[in-house]
Amino acid sequence: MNNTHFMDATGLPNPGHYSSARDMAILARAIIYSDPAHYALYAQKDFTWNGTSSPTATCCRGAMMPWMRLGWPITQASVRLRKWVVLARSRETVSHWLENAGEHGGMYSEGAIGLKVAWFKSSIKIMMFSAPNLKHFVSNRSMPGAVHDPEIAERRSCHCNVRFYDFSSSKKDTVEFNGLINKSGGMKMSILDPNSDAKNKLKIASLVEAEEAFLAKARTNANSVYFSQHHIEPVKPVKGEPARSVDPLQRPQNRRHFLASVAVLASSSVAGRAIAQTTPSLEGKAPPGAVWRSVPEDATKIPGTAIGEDGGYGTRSQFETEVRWRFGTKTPLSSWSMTPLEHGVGIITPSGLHFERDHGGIATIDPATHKVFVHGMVKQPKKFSMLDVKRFPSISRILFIECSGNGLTEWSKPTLKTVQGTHGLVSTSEWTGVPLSTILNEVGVKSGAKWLLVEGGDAAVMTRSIPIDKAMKDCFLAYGQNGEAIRPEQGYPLRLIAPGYEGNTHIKWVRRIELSDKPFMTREETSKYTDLLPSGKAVQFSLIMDAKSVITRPSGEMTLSGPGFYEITGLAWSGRGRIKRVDVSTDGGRTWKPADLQGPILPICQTRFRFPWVWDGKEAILQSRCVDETGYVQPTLGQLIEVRGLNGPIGSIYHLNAIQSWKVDTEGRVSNVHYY
Amino acid sequence: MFTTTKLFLQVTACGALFALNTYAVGADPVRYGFGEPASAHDLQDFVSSLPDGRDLPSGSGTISRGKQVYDEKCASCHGQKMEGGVGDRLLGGRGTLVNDDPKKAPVKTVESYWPYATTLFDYIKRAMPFYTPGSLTNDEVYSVTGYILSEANILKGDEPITAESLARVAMPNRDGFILDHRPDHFKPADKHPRLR
Repeated sequence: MNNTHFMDATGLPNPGHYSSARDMAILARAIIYSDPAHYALYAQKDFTWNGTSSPTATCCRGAMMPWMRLGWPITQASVRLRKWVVLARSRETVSHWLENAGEHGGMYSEGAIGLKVAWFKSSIKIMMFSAPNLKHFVSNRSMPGAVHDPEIAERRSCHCNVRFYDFSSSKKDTVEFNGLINKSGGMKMSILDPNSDAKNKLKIASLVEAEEAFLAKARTNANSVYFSQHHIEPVKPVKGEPARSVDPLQRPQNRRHFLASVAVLASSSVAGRAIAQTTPSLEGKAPPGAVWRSVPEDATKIPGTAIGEDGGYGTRSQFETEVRWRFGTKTPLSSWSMTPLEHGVGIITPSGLHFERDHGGIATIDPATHKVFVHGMVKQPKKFSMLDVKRFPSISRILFIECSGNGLTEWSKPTLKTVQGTHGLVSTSEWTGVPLSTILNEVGVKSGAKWLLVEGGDAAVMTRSIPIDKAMKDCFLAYGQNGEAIRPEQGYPLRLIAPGYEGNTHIKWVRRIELSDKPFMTREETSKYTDLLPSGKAVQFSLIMDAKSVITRPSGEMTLSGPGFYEITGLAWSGRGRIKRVDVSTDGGRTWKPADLQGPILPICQTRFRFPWVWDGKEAILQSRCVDETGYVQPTLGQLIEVRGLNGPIGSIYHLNAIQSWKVDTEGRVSNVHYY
Repeated sequence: MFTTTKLFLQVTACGALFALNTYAVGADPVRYGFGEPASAHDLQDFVSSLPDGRDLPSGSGTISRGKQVYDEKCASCHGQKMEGGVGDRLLGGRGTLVNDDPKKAPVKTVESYWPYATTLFDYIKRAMPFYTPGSLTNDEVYSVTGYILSEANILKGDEPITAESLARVAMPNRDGFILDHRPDHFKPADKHPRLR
């Protein structure tokens, strides 16, 4: 290619873009050969949406937006073309494209307008376009139903949500992002009015939506703790046939509620967008992490599945549906998902349900070539392969990791409904790895070194500064989680464990450690994970996670089936050491009784507590309060706000460790309340 | 008996060795000899900056070049006027940090909140542009850093943007940070609780 130039990586309108048909053909060929996995996508000649058929052109151009996960070989090159981006397998298709490159080609066809109009209203989930075309469309066309829509014309700009469908599979939510079309044209990501504080509200709204979408499904799933009879159509016994029990996996999906959840997703015009990462348990379709197998009438009358059919790596039961769901940040490439604590038993979080947080997607790293560099104020800078790392003497510790943003929605009012939403950014695993002290001794720490920078090898190249005293005391580089290698989303092949510190410091995909006399003041430890107080000052290096507890069952959105015995259970943890005691109140904190702590009670680890309770059918407020071995008492929200203040709707965001209140009403329904 | 004592001594010595290895600095600890020496060549592409400008790479930029880079590579996510979008808002917000109104959010931006200009260089260099991280040259990063700071009315003039000049920049919120004072000491609440 020698007649092509792109001015930027985004494909946004730029008069400097140019290319030729020949280069396009070269590009197309290269893409087909270099990325055959998505060939099925490009090979589509047309697609139909909402009764409107559009030529491949549109489809292909959509596929080239950088937000699709097609990899940079495609996006960097193809997305940048000024007017026409061609991905085709044959000369005919290229010719067809070029011939139709006028006002009526591709996206400009009248048939496509319906698509656009609906999209502008944020009411549909599909739109494929290239940015240059979009600019052309916006600036040169009247836009009935778009900015001329009375609802939208009032605004300076309109928000939209775009979700690309991958036509090569039935997967429906390949990727989504949020953007903005302003009246002057062009695709712009400017969603927020600079003069409003909409950003925080939008974030929370998106999370509420994510949870609602999840609940809408869970309420119709008889296996879910959120199952509600109100949402299940009664099963009518057929004459002459005995009534069958309701098996949610064999019963058709409750379509009404499924649609309702889609409507919730689609109707809002806020920028944040929620994706509940749940898969409906349709007949024959197993939930994530499971394999569907037909269910015999009587498992004693037919042999079961043969050993080895799972390929040698087991799966969970097809009847277990709990999943993490994702906070609706603006892009799924910088987001977090939450652990369903309400389903948990014991203290270990299953590796596949451990909460996730990353700032640039989950890196894929080959351990055979991965290296960890240790340098800076050391006597001998060194690099270690994964084999080198694993040769050192290792340790294993069962530790919790909690994101310091856990509960950020709950500062000023009860916002999320479930414990997964309010507390799901904490998980516990057994981690195995090499003490940092061992590694640091290997390179020799120079006197005067006080801090070390730990850097991840992901797209965010995440960095945090760790005090060297902490590193020498108990930090380690972990390669193992719950008896096997760390999961990719947890930092495979190597992550830092900084026991008791906020989750962000547990750098994943570790590739480098640099020693220095001063903290590096990285973006995350200055502009992000700092606690802004009403005085305008922000607390920095607030690294330790204070003691916290929560009742996981019963918890928000569950329904008690009637007066009688219930075991109240939950988790308590402290970044400063062991949990010493947990008290439970069923009257909103007026009276407290000690709960049983189930062993093992480990330092900096979740501890399960249990408390027998007979519900008398009257309204109750359930609370738990923990004390750790340093004597620290978990505060009420009122006490915490006295110290921290409320600087905005999400307060100082981080380190909310207050007592959680669940209200049980006389119908047995449990809800999230503020009671202090 | 003799054998048992010897074994005991060996185990004790070994235990002491490991204890030393695990927790002591400088006391000439055990070395295993694993790993290879890292050369300057190995380390040359890593970037990490300290607020005093140490560790920033060589190079320099200009505000006008920075505008060009910004418009091409940053505006799609951060907005034509740095007002934010998919990416964070970069400008404005001065005077909003002091606030105890739960209904009004403080506006935390590079201009209003970030304490060090070197952090801006560092972050752009390592993690931006979001979809093509690490694709900017050092000169481009110096330029766009300078442009953002100039739009924020923090940096003025035609002086080239370099490691030294960034270390000299006085960010508006430079003194806005305090150290962690926790643990707080809470007593079990004695007030009469109520629904809020």
